[in-house]
Amino acid sequence: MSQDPVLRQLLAPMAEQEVDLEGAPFQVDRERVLSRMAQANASAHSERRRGLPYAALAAAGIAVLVLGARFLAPNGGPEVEIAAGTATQAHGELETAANSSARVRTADGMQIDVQSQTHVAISDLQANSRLKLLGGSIRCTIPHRNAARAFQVSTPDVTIVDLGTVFTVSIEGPQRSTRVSVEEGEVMVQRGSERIVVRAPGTWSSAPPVAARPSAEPSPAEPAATSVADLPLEPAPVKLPLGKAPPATLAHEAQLLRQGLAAERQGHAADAISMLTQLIKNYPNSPLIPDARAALARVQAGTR
Amino acid sequence: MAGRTQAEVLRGAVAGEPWAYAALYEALYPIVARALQKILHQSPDYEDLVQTSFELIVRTLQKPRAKEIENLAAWASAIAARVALDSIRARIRERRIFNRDADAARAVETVPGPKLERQLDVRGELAWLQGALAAMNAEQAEAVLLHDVLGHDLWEVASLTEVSAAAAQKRLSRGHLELKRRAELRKKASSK
Repeated sequence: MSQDPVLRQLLAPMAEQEVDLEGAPFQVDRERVLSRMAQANASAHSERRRGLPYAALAAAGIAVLVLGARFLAPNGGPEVEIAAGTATQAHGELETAANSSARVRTADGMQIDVQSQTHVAISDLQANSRLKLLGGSIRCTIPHRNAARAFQVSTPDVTIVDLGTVFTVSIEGPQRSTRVSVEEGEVMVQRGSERIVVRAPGTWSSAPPVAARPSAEPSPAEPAATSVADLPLEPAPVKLPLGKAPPATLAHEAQLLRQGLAAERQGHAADAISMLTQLIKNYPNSPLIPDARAALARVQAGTR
Repeated sequence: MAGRTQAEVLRGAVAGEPWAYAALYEALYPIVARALQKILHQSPDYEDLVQTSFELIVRTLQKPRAKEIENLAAWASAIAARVALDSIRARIRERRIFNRDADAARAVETVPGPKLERQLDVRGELAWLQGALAAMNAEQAEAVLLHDVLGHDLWEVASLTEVSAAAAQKRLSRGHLELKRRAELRKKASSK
């Protein structure tokens, strides 16, 4: 700790804050954390397995690497069991058994880590960049691509549209609600006519909200506008009005943004400006407009 | 980690043993909670941030450098501090984009009573500090948090951030200067 009294005073709000391991505002569902640790470990474990032959399969289409005891790939015909540690090309539906996992990789760099006891339909992945999560949990690592279609994950109740990111989608509980955790970048969740942008590090769930936790101290009045202490500390999912644009345009909006960002990163300013301007002009009510404007400003500043 | 050594627990966690996750959680939750609560105070998303911290802890264990972890508590503390700092940055970014109008409206509606002044002062100071750290160079902000808020010594800061002690000292000094510079600017602005 610094001995400088000015610094001590400046840092006092944090340094002198007492820690509460028992209070209601700091209750944690231990089992859920342990479950997430297991999923994170499985994911990290599969990432370490590099240089396996499935890379070659991926170049040709969709490849699946199995990292567990048992893995079933019903391709519209009889179920096929694939030995752990092997790679194969696959389509149709994949289902992992308990204590097993799989990695799906496409030729254009998308990578889907399928956790244990998960069921996914990948038949539409190659052609339309769409994947259906029927149960369990997947972690998607999607590069910023200059692709024609945005990558989408459908669950029983929502559609998640990727904007160049790393995120996990799980179907949880008896109500089969969807939970989305974004590690990098952002995704857009579409539920009916509602659109929700979730940015890293952020989490969103379609489960009904639980009752508010009781506060440990009397609720103070709203702070002044200069204070951010009352705002959600995580990039709280932002609910956005649908606006005039029909939901069907969502994928196109996401595509324009992704292509604009990809062009920006590759130094193609004219292309970036064209894509971002199209998005702003054609979809003025899109929830992606703030990102498009920010990117456009960066590109235009760089070209001056 | 009753009955088990740290090395056994870490090996168990890498191998996916549920008992190892439980042991890690029991051992490290107070450390993670301390870092998150000191930096963020209360948050409606506290539980998610705890979860994110433990996911990162488990992921980091898979990396080759994990074998070099000597001080597990300090290492977990640093991970939680990064999660907290990231969440502040993300929240401020969100606020800039989406909440400008809402904040302006709230400022008009809010008239704090005298009894709440102190409480609001504290929250205001915390908000300013969070904003300043989020806007600073990330490496300098991290050094300041680890050293001055979480109490790690310079050698630990160097080890946790994987730089030499001299480099850690440099980041810390520059972070201090930057924080004071921002405080001066704030003071000048408020006196106008």
